[in-house]
This record gives sequence, C-alpha cells and structure tokens, in this order.
Amino acid sequence: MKNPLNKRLPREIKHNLGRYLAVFLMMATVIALVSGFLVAAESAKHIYNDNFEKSSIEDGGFITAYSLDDTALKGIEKVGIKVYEDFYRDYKLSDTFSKNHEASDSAITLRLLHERKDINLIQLMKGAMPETDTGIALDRLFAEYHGIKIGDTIEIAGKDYKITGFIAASDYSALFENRNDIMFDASTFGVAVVKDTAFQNFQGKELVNHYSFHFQDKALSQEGRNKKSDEIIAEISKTNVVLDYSLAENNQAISFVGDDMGSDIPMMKTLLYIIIVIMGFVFSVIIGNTIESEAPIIGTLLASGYKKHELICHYMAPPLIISAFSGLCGNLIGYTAIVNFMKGMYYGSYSLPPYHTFWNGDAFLDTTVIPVILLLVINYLFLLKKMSLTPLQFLRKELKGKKGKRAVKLPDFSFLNRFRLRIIFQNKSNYLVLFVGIFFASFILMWGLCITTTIDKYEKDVVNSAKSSYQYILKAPADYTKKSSQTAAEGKQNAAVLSEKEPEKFTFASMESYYKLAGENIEVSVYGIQENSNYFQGLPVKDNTEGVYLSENLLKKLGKKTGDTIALYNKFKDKTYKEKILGTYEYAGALSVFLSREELNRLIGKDSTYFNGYFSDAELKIAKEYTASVITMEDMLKLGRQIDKSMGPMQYIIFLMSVIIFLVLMYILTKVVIEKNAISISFMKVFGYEDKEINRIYLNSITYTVLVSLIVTLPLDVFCMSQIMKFVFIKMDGYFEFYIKPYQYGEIVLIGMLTYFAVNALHRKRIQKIKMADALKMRE
Amino acid sequence: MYLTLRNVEKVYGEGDNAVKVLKGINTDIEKGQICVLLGPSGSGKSTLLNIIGGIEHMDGGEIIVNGLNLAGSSEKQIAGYRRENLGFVFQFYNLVPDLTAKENIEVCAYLSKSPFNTDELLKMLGLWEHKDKFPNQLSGGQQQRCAIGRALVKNPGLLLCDEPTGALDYSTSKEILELIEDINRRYGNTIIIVTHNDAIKNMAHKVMKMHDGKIVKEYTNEVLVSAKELEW
Repeated sequence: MKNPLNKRLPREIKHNLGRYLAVFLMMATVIALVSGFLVAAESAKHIYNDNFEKSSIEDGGFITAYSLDDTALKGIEKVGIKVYEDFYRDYKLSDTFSKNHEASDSAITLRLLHERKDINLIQLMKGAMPETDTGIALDRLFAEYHGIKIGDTIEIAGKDYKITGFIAASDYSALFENRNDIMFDASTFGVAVVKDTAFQNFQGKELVNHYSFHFQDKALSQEGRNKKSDEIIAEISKTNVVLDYSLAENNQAISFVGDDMGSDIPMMKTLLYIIIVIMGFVFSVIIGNTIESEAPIIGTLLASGYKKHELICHYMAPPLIISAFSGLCGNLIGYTAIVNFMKGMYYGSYSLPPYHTFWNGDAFLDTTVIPVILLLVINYLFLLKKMSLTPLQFLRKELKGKKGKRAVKLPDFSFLNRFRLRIIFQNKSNYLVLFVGIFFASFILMWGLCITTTIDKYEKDVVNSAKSSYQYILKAPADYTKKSSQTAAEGKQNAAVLSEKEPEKFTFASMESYYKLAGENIEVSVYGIQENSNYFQGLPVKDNTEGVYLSENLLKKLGKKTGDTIALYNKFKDKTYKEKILGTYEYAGALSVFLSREELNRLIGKDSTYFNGYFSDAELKIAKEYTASVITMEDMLKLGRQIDKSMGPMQYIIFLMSVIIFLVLMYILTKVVIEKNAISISFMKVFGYEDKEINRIYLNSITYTVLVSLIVTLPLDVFCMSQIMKFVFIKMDGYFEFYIKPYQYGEIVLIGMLTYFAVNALHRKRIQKIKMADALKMRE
Repeated sequence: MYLTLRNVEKVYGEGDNAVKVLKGINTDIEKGQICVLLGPSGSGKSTLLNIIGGIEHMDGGEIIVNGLNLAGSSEKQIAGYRRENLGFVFQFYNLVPDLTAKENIEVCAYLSKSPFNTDELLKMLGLWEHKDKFPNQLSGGQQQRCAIGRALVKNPGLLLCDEPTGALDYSTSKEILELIEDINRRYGNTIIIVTHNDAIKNMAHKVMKMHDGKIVKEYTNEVLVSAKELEW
C-alpha cells in the first residue's frame, strides 16, 4: 500500500500554489540562466579546444625579414618541424571603407590572408568563400562590429570588394593585431580572406613573411618546445633575420580565448549556490510554518505509530519535488532558449568556429543534482531538529523550547503603541526570520547592482594608477629615439600622466606565485625599478637591499601582509625565489612585485646594467625586432572594455535575477508573518476594530521591521560581498575589490521598500478576505 | 491480564519545583474491557493515558501491555508498540486537512499489516456518504467518527480515547459513545476512555476515579447501561 499521506502532496502544492509557484519561478529562472550559461561556456570551450586539431592550428609561427628559399626551409625543417608559408598583408582602412561604418578616431587594420589548406584553416561561418578575385570573406566579429552584411562592398587600397561570407580564422580566435599585445579590439582589427590569385595581385603593402609550423613530435614537453624554439631561431638566423617568433601558447591571438574562457564561471556558480542556500532558508521557513500549523496532526500521527523519518520524508517531499522540477525545467529552458543568448557573450567577443551545443553533464550536476542534494540536506537537518520533539509536545503545540516566559514590562505608552510593541515581541522569532530573509534578499540585490560599479572602479583604478603613458617591453636591451609628432588628441588621451619625463629603464620578468584560494599559481609581473624612479614616485626600492614591495592588489589577492614572505616562481628557469614583503605600493595596472632593477637583475642572473623595458610619457621609436609589446593607456582602457564586454550581459542578468529573488523572498517571508497573525487580525475585526486601525497595529510593525532590517543588514551585506568577491573573480587576472557607491545604499532600501509595499498590498487584500466566522472556527 | 500498572509514578519539574502528578498507580485491565478514567482537571488521568500510550515517560513503576513491559523498552520498541497495538482518539480530531475522510482513515491502515477493510469501516462508522469529503466539510461528530475510524482501522488491541466527546454536543456525544460500544462488541478491543462526564461510567466494565495523582475509587460494573440509554 502506498502511503496515503502522499496524496497530500498535489493538494498541498495546489493549496499553496502562489507560494510554490514563486519558489519554482525563482529557482527555474536562476537554474535556466546558470545552466544556459554553463552549457554555452563549456560548448564554446569544447569548440575552441576541438578546433586545434580540426583546423590544424599551428604549434608556432615566425616572421622573417625576407622570404625563405627552399634550402633555408629544408634546413629549418631538419630541426623537427614542418613549415608552411602563411603570408599576410595589413591594410589601414579609410573612414569610408564601408557605407555602414561610423567614422572614429581609431585606425582600423584589416589583415588579408590567402586561402589555407594545410594549417590554421579558416572556417566559413555564413555565406560562401570568395570564388572570384573581387570577392572577400570577412571575419564575422569584425563585420558585426562595423555592421557589414554579406553582399556589401568594402574598399581596400582603392579597390572595391564584395563580401561573399563571414569566416573565423582558427589562429585569430581573439583578434590580436600583434601576438604580444595585452588586449585585443575587434573594432580596430580584423582579418579577411581572398582568393590566392587576388592575394598575389594586392598592391601597396609589403607582404609579411609569416610562417607557421607544426612540431613533428606532437608529444614534446614545454621544455622541449622551448629548446626547439631556440634551435629554430638559430637556424633561421643563419640566412635571415627573425622579426618575430612565438609558440602557439604564447600567441595571444590563439591562446587568449582558452585562458580567458570560463573566468566568469566561478561567479555564476557562486551565485547559484548562494541562491540555493537562500532557497534552503525559504523552504525551512515554509516547512517550519507548516509544522507549526500541523503540530497536533503530527502529534497524532506519531502517537498512532508513524515513525519520525516517515514524517520527515513527507514534509521534505514538496521542496524536493519543486526543486527537482525547477532543476529539470530550468535545464530544459537553459539548453534550448537561454543557451542561444549566452553563447552571444562568447561569440560577441571571440571569433570562434560555428556554434553547436554539447550535452554538458557537469552543468546538469551543478545546476540540478547538487542543488537538489544541497536542499535535501538543509531541509533534512532542519526537519530532524524540528521532529526531535515528543508526540505529546506536538499534541500540546509546545514547539518552542521554553514556555511560560514572563511578559516584557512595557513603558507607559499609549495603548496602541504598547499593543504594537507587544505584537513585535510576540512575533520576534518571525521578525528574526524576516530579518535574515531581508539580509539574503538585499545581499543578492547588492550583488546585482554593484558588479558593474566594482568593475568600473577597477577600470578607473587601473587608469588612475598608471605610471607612464607608454610601457615598452623589450626582447633585448635596445636604444630608442623619441617620436616628435604627438597629436593634440593623443596628448589629451594620455593626460592621466601629469608631466612628461625622460624615458626610464626597467627590468621586467613574468613569474608565478601560489594563490591559495584558487589552489593554483597566478601570473605576477615583477618589475625591477631604478632607485628614486621618476615614474614610480615614492617607491622605496633600494639596491643591495633584500625584499620586495607588492602592489596593493596583489597583497590583498594573496591575503598577505607586510613582513610575510612571498614565493616567486620563475618558470623559465624553474627556480623559486623567496622574498620578504617590505611594504605595498599603489598600482592597479597588474598584479605586481617591485624591487630595484639591480636586485631583479641579480635574481634572474643578469648583469647590473641589464634592462628590458622603458617607462615613457612620450612615444618612442624602438626597432620592431626588439619590441616585445607596448602597453599604452588605450590598451589599459581596452582591458576594461573587454571585461565590460564579456561580463556586461551577465551584469544585467544578475541584476534581473536579484530583483526577482528580492520580490519572491519578500513575498514569501512577509506572507508567513502576516498569515501567522491572520487569526489575531480577524479577531480584532470581531471586536470591532476597523481595517485602518488593524493595519496600524499589525502591518505597520512589519513595515518598520522591513525598513530597519533593510538598513541594518547593509553593512552585513557589504562585508559578505567583499568576501564573496574573492571567489567571484577568482579566475580573473586582476584583483577586484567590492565597491558600492553611496547612493546605491539608498537604491537598495528604496527597491526593498517598494517591493515590500507591493507585496503588502497583496496581503492586505488577502486579510480583508478572511471571514470573521472562519477565524473563530479555526480556533480550537 | 491485558494491561497491568504497578506503582506508576510521574513527576513534572525538578528540585523545589517538582510536582508529582502520578503517585503510585496500580491497576489491572482485562482484554476486551471498556475502562473509564474519571476525575477533575489536574487529577492525572490524561497523563496516565499518555503514559499507557507510550507518548510520555513514567518516572517509576512499570506498565505491562500484552506482555510488553514499557518501563524497560527502548524508544524504538515503544514506537513499534504504538504502531502495532495502539489507537488514539483525541478531543480535537486532528485530521489531516487536505485528505478526505477515507484517506484520513487510510493514513493509519497503511501502518498495519492486516488492517480492516476501509470501505466496510466507513459504512460501520456511518461515513460512507461522506467518504470523499475533506474534514472542513464534515460536522464535529463526523470528524470524530473519522478520527475513531483512523484509530480503529489498524485493529489495535488497545484504543485510548482522551475526552472523545469533549468537543461535541449531547446527541453527537451519544452517537460517538454508541460507536465505541459497538466497536468493543464487534472487535473486542480493550478501550480506555478519559472523561469528565460522570455518566459515561455506566457503560464501562471498569471505572477508575482519580484525584491528585491517585486512584481513589476503582470498581467493576456488574450491569452495563448501553450508551444509547445514558443520560446527563
């Protein structure tokens, strides 16, 4: 025989449809968004990873001053690689290159590629590959940025070309113009492919002698690849000049997507689990309320021989059914509808091959199985405690530990005030639940509101703490000459740096340090700065002094303090240096370690005069072959723009979710409090009190509690947010410190109160509907 | 003997606040007897009923029900004893609000290996026409019938009724008492009824009057008055 109590479940859900529907909608929405996001993210990652083999992406590439002849090529291939010609031409496009393009200050570069058959294959996204010499297929992302459609015409080097299709070049999944750039920008750089014959006929620009290669030994270790690289460069240098060399893992255009992808997954997962804990709390409130109202029935069932675990299972069933159903529906919506929106976050930033969704067991586990198990455990523990009472205690409704407490003596206020206070004291446990709920709700709302401000603040800090307009990283020490013509616009753009100083040498080394929270090493920029630097003013680095200074963001990210020791791992030399932290320095541009140039040179085994970088307020002329990368203020802004772009849609989603959660929580919690007082309210009606007076006594006390809770929980929310942010941005390179603008506190309280008043109006109507006779009947 | 009570004691509170509510109760009840426990409020009769029902612990003495000594039994054994041997009827019916009359009875049928046929029981209880109604659609008497049906469906050896007519009017109370009498006659269950109503004593095989935690009077009725003929 099936347990007849099971027949209650559909009726219980139907009876409290509003409550369960609210919970279902909230959970299903959150799960749909998170599941859609995870599926899109993992699918995009899958597509990106598969593309290495599918499109035969290079293991490395180099640019030579002159093209290599067959003998030179054979010589290089003897090192153990297969080399392919992969020439390209760069064209600066005019402001009128396309009819849809809006003129801007930034110069636009289009890189023309020829047809590829063996390496770095090009995927057709839409339309067709060019079949005539006047056809061109453009990178999809670049085309989208400039509003170019198939069939449109663009002008390159004075000639018109018809767009035949959109492509994704496998070695340009992130549109980096130079592989050492710190950030890419698809609005100013794009790639396109034309027929080989058309490529040969292009005029006006020098051919870039770019070669791509595959290692013959696919199982080469990183050390082996580095060693081979030295051999390749040495071999080329015998007959030619190497202008650029890079392994695929160091080529940002190839590797950036893989490194960046998934950096926002921790944020979504953290948010999901916080919401699940909130759901656990909501269900506990609902279950607690049900148990309180059904105490004599529970007592009777226990007295009749029902076992506690049977009743625990019975009361656990509705939350589990709702959460499992929410999980399934959420996943279904996530997989079908949301995933298409979410994939836009990746395809709006990266130039990836055509998208298709992959079944993601982990996403299902994360969004359905784990939340259901988590809710099961939370509810089980809660019910276990609730059911620890004896049958007699349930029968007598002795659900609270202590009974017969003395009434609090109230001051000689007016009757109504004393009444109101008495209501608050009598309902203090309910108000406490409301307080906790408001804490959760306002926490989520703060999250939704402040992710944007936190990122904005990060961007501003990066720009404000920039020490020079240009940072040149060199492959080897090199001299410079100053570029004389800096336009007024450029000067303005670089105005963050106050006065122009002479360029200053520094030594740069990329090292790693252990980030305990993430359980892995993170990249840190180690700067060897000269004593009394003009750029890093006030940084007290000294020659012949051991110890380092950390940028404040690194100190906070690693959770270190002055006096601690930091271990810096040099992966190129497989060496670890342990340095004492002497202090901090305000610099948000990178997670940085500072020491004197001489000290860093000593550390990495260079002579004391060595340097591999310049800080400069003016643009410098340095031979291209010596320049590894140039970081300008514009690059720093690009970094912010990219974070905004990749996380932008997510910020709106989180804000939307937070408002929904706030509404639902407020509805459920105030409903519980008002329902608990419904009988008393009806009695007041029986005594002859008017609705207005009843509202003053009962509802106003809830209003005050909501208002006070909203204000009091704010500092608590801020504290929790600043802790949670460490997890949210755990995979991001920088350090994001939680930031809230003062007026946003007001926004939270205002949204909170408006939501409450909307919910309150619903409840008032419900109370008005309670018949006085029913209220009396419900009393035993 | 079906039920034996020896020196049963119960104390509420501790130290100076300790109140002895049962002060050494001794009695025997035979199988199939209706036993009425009478007494004023606070005399300890409900406490005694709860202890016999295993939902409250005794602080001294022993209770042996059908060979099981509750004093030496574990929580698990007592829960099993309640599941297999006991039916409870309370003053307030405590029916599950969103189950129908029939389903409320099935709630306890589920606990028994050999329950009575629910449909037959509903007919016997006079609830057949109301079997698909929810508790709030039933009168007080019908709800109490349903509660009795729920307690009875397991065919328990011992039926404990705590003020079963306490919330009912005169004629409905009589209907319920007639039902209890009928059940006892048909199924031979041992029934203990706690009541304030002195008139009920006349339908019981055994009567115990309690006062201040003690049985002050205990006797067996030679001649029983049928519930239908009870007057108060």
